[in-house]
Amino acid sequence: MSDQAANALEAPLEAALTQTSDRRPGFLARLLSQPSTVFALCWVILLVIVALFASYLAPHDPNASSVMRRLQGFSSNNWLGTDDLGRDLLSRAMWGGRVALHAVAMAVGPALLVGVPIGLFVAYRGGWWDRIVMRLVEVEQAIPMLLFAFTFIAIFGRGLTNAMLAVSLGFAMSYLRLTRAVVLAERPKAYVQAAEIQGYSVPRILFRHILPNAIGPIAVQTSILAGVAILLEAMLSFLGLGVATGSPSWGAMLDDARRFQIQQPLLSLVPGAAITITVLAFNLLGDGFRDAFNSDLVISRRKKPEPVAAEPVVADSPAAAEAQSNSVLRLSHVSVEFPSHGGAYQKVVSDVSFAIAPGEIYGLVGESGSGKSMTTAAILGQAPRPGRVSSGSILLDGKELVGLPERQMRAIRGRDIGTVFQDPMMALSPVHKIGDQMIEGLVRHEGISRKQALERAAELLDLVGVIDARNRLNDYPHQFSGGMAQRAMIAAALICRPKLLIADEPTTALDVTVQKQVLDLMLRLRETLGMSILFITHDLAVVAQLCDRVGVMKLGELVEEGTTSALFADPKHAYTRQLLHAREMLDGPMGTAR
Amino acid sequence: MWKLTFARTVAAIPVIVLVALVAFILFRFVPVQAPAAILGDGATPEAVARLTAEMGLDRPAPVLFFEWVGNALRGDFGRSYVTGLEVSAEIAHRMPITLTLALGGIFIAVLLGVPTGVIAALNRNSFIDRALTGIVSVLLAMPGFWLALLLVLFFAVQMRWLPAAGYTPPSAGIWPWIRGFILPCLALGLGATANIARHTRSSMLAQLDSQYARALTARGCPRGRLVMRYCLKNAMMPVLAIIGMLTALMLSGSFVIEKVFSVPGLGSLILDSINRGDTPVLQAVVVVVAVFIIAVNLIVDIGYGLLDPKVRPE
Repeated sequence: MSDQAANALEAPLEAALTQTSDRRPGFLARLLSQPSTVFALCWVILLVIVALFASYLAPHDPNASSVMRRLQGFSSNNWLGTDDLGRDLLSRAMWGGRVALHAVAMAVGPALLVGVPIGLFVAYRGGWWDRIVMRLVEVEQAIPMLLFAFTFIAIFGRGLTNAMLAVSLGFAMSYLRLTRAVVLAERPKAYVQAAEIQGYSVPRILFRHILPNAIGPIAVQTSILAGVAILLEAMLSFLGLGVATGSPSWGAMLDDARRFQIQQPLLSLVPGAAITITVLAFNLLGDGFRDAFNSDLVISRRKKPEPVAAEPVVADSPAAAEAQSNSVLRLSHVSVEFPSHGGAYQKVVSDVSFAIAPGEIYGLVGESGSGKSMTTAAILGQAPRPGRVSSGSILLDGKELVGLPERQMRAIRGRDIGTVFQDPMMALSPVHKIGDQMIEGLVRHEGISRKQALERAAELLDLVGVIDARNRLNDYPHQFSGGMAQRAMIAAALICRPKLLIADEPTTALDVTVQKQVLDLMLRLRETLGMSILFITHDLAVVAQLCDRVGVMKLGELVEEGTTSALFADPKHAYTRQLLHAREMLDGPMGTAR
Repeated sequence: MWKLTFARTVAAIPVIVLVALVAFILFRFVPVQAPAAILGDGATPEAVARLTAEMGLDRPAPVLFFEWVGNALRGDFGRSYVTGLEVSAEIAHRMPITLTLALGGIFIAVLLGVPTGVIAALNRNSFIDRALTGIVSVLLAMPGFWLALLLVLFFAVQMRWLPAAGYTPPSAGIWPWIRGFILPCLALGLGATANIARHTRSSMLAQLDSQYARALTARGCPRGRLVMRYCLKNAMMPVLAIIGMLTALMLSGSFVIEKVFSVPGLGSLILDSINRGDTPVLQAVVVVVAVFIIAVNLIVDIGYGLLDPKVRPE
């Protein structure tokens, strides 16, 4: 297999290591589109130029002392003043830049050359190699970098080289761990296995195939470590363990400032600011690299809704008529907008109207991005900022919800509208007890004690079929299975006996067998408690099984609505037909509605 | 809980032994070994050899190592080559000062850093958030000892509110003792404050956007309660590890800050020992500091057990 084919197999990177080896031409453009990165880059380039050409650029000899001009403030001759020996601070700061960059090179260079290959190797080999090296890394980490440098200097003598070699050893450990993590993440992937099957040599696989994926994280790390190196050089020189006495280093300049700042308070300003700005620049550069490598973070813009002229095809059935006159929830011409480029607003929900009768189960169907979840968010007053409901009316039992103040909306959430979300495990805080999370709204809505509320929670858990309900209230989410957790979430949503239950894809995250149980439970609860249900889903089989009426959404619009049987038997809108057809292609002919 | 504590403590022992071994081996490489250092420059090789034998240093390295470890376990790190004082007494005298500084620094950092991060997160992308994030970035890049110099200039030289340098023992009164620590702890803690604020902010943002936050809101949980009771606890989990790491860093950071404020802690002991080649002191300090850092990591691990029900054994 050629390298190209191997690269084609490369799966998109996930999770923590999302910095991919992205070398599309857009990388530099992305980097330069961040103002802070441009500033950082300019500063670093300026520093490199000043450091390289300090002998030409510095206005004075950095070591030329003059007793006549000691401890001067800013002046025309010495722009940034002079130190206790009358040496020019600007010139010393420029030469200090050279020391700082020298320190960065000495700390980062060897660390890269040693840490990255060892990290690649131990992670690939694993076993004893890995265990022994990682134990050593652990030991090294128990000794702070500065103390380690002290030890090194005590043994090998003081001086910038020894100090920075010690730092470099610490950095090597940091690169080692980073590279190891990347290899461990990449190793199981198809392109590495393909290369192994091809019989490529281990070094070739490590350096040609895996290493490119580590370049992003390594670049970020290098930038940050460069800043650390500068801080450590300054610290060690400040303590008199770094550069030779009298040499221009920012840290040593700060030591001079320490001794004489009572006479000349401006002394520390130049070296202090030089260190701060340089470290800041390296940190910003690291952030910039991270963002630019993370091409995944580019937010895909929602497609502009095509202008669909068709009015909703409303089925003229008795059920619909009843829903119109006597509805629990009624949406009329609701639109939700988000600001898009150039200050214009873009509609993600557009002129949606439907109504739900008492005890009715209404299904809202559509593919992801069709606006169905945004519609529910609008009902709950939770349209994510900066989105907003721009027009229309949402009546809950005749009460207008659009424009309702947050305080009043809060009194409705959980009391009049219960909500069940897609993934029960995500919908629960992992470090709080199930019972406490269930009663959070109840205690506030009904002003009852925590004890009474827990009593009610136990009743409801029992009702939804959780065995040993009372004791399980004290459990944490990880002690529940997915299906049980979703039952608990349904119980929590119903704890205040709401008129309306919004179920936002409540079965999507569950196993197939559990899905059926949860749907049966919802039907049973509707019989016992008599609430209406707004059921959001993309699954037509679920709709057929559960819903009395259905609305079909596409690109933010409600394109068709009707009783489940009518809609399945005779879809009016082309999109609905497509949807049903796609479903049949997958599963065979759809069973008729209930 | 006890089981977890015990298991983690046991797991820390090999690391401590390894640190001791590394420190022992490293200091075998010191060019001027003890007898030569004690006798000074003019010593004859015979004199050095005699003293080496007298001190028992001509025995094999493994014997010396186990002797050193055995003595260290009993709190005996030998005597300084230079002053002849007991190393453990010297460390016991200075360690509390450095520890006070480090713990004071981390206390300030948590006290200021967590609320800063939370406020920034709650006001995401607002002017407040940008201003706080900007200050945090600058503080992160600023060397603590420059900050120390600026603090001295303002609070001690200009305003004369606090002492510019020196250490007042607690026997001279609690308030003078605290006064002496305020500036050093601030100088040490502000960088860590920025670090904690930064991590708290990003962690808090993730929690505010979480599904469970949305679910609790949909159940009628007021925002203030959501933030303080639910999001904060979840957000603190990763920050706890950062706090542990920073506490360890505070120790070495205090070595530098001690110089600015002329505080007689471990920092000046180490610098003097490096200058005089006082190996027993350095060896002891490396081990003591490492043990402290391993202990901090242990406490963080156990703290996780208290916070995270998944780690907590039944």
